[in-house]
Amino acid sequence: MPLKDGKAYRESLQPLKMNVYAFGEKIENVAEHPLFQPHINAAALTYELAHDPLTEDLVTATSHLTGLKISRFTHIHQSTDDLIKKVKMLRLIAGRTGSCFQRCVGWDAMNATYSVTYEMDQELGTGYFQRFRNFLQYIQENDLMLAGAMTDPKGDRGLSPAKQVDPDMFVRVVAKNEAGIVIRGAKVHQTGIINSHEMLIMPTMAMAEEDVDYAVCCALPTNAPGVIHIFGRQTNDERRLGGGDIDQGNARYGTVGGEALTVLNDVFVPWERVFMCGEYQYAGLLVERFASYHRQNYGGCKAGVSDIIIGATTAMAEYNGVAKASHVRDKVVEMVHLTETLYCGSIACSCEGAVTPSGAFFVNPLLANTVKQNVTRFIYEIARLSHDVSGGCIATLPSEQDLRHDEVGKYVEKYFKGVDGVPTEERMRMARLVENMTGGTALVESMHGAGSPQAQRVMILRQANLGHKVKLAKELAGIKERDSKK
Amino acid sequence: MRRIRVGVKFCGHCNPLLDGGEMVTAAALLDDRIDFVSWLDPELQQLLIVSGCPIDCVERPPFTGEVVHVAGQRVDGKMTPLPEVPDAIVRSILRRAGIQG
Ligand SMILES: Cc1cc2nc3c(=O)[nH]c(=O)nc-3n(C[C@H](O)[C@H](O)[C@H](O)COP(=O)(O)OP(=O)(O)OC[C@H]3O[C@@H](n4cnc5c(N)ncnc54)[C@H](O)[C@@H]3O)c2cc1C
Repeated sequence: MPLKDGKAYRESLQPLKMNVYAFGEKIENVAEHPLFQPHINAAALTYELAHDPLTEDLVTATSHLTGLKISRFTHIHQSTDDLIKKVKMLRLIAGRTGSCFQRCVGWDAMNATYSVTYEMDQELGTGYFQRFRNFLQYIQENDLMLAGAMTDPKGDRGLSPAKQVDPDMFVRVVAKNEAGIVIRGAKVHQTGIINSHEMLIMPTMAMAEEDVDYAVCCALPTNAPGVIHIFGRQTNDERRLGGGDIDQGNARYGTVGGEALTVLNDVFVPWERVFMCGEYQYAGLLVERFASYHRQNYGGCKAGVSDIIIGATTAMAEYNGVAKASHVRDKVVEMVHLTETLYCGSIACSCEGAVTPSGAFFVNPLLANTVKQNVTRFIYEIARLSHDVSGGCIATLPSEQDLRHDEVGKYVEKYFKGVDGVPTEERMRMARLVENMTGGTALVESMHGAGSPQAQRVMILRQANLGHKVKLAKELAGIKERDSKK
Repeated sequence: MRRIRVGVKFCGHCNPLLDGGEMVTAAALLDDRIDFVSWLDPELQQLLIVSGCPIDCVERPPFTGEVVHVAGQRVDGKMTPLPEVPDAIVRSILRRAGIQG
């Protein structure tokens, strides 16, 4: 099957007829409901760009399984060059959408599962790797969109899966038979899942022997029997449901990815789609691989998003007549500096990637975690600077209906005007874009997406090579190594 | 006269200093002896590589003929003012085809 374009992707969602709820209602046609259009548009763009001569070099790759041209979003990284191209592609697309285009989670899940199943088979003699390759080939050949389903509800964060009062707080295997397994539980914060074809379930954390039923990795269609998706609210989401496009800020692509709570009510998964079932010793490795790949992304996509925020902020400064003020220029410089620092980290962890036993390439995990840690701070600072320069109107503007109103429209027009020559409507549009991209849901993604800051700090400490640093210091301080046998 | 078929390969344009698409469109308007086509075209006479910045990370397709190379504002390695890039592309193609501009 050839690479899908945006139209074919949209059409492929129609027959899924997923079980989706939003605003207390069952959604009959996700593909056409206005609430989901921005997210579908963003995902559709990833399909479009694979056909655009200007962008296909980044957005497509050659399958190592079939030798055919595939979407890079379904590719297993075969070199550091692939890892670098991943980051560049994410920056490219985020620079077009200004929001999350959702496909990296499933992609990272596939790359992590690929290398971990190989290593698991080597040590335990299981047969997961070939199964996973078959699944991967199916995804590549049909150019499908896959949600990466890792985060469990977790209930009491202080307790392990097996010790939870409610055993469904982590996804677990509740039955097995000759044909497959039955899983129960839920995954939360599922990006893009209501417009994905498949989901790849992974454990959320390292596990011990008592958690054996929770050590499960498997793939299932998003419309499998027993799956219910309850769509999450986002800042200002009701602005999509009528009243023009200005107030939405980014009417075409929305905010973040469109997340859902995905309930798995005794869902059957055939064995050929099960890639871990009880091998609790490998849950931690799978989480670490996935998390590092996923953290690598953030200096790519957030750099692309920040490119737009910087552009919008610069435009606001011009519309407000302060673009030449030295403090404004300096703030814009700072925003660029923060953005490029994030990008540096993502490029660096890709350049320092290394081959895994499966042949797939993995990022430098220390640097990847460092990038994501920076994202939890720098994006907030970029947003803060943008708020500073753009002015208070981003929080107080009247609605588009007021701008168009017969009686009061003229006042909105008059009193929200900035420099001469720039129509008030343009200033309002740009201010709304800043509002959309720098507040609420958009910011929280930078904090918790791909793991909360502490999750990165744990991995940073583990990779920090502190022993070597102490040795270097002792050398300079003139401290001799003591013979440990004495 | 037979037209020159030039296959164009763009880099991906993640953070471009130059819009390669615009440059090639402008170049196409300058000389009607040149056909700019996809790099996948089986009958290419020349290949035009267009990178949006000097990093020039584009993957080179296997091609044994003449290659014109744009990377940021460098055309065949020579720094070129932005408005002159389309003209420089055309001149390079014609020169490689043995035609006086
Ligand atoms: C916009 C967005 C998109 C996302 N997309 C996806 C997706 O597509 N797929 C997916 O699987 N996940 C996704 N996530 C989930 C993301 O990985 C989680 O939000 C993240 O791992 C944090 O989990 P949590 O939200 O349950 O927060 P919590 O785990 O409740 O964290 C809250 C605080 O508690 C602390 N904490 C948690 N547990 C402990 C503990 N045991 N001891 C001490 N402190 C603790 C944390 O460090 C943090 O400070 C997304 C999240 C967001 C916000």
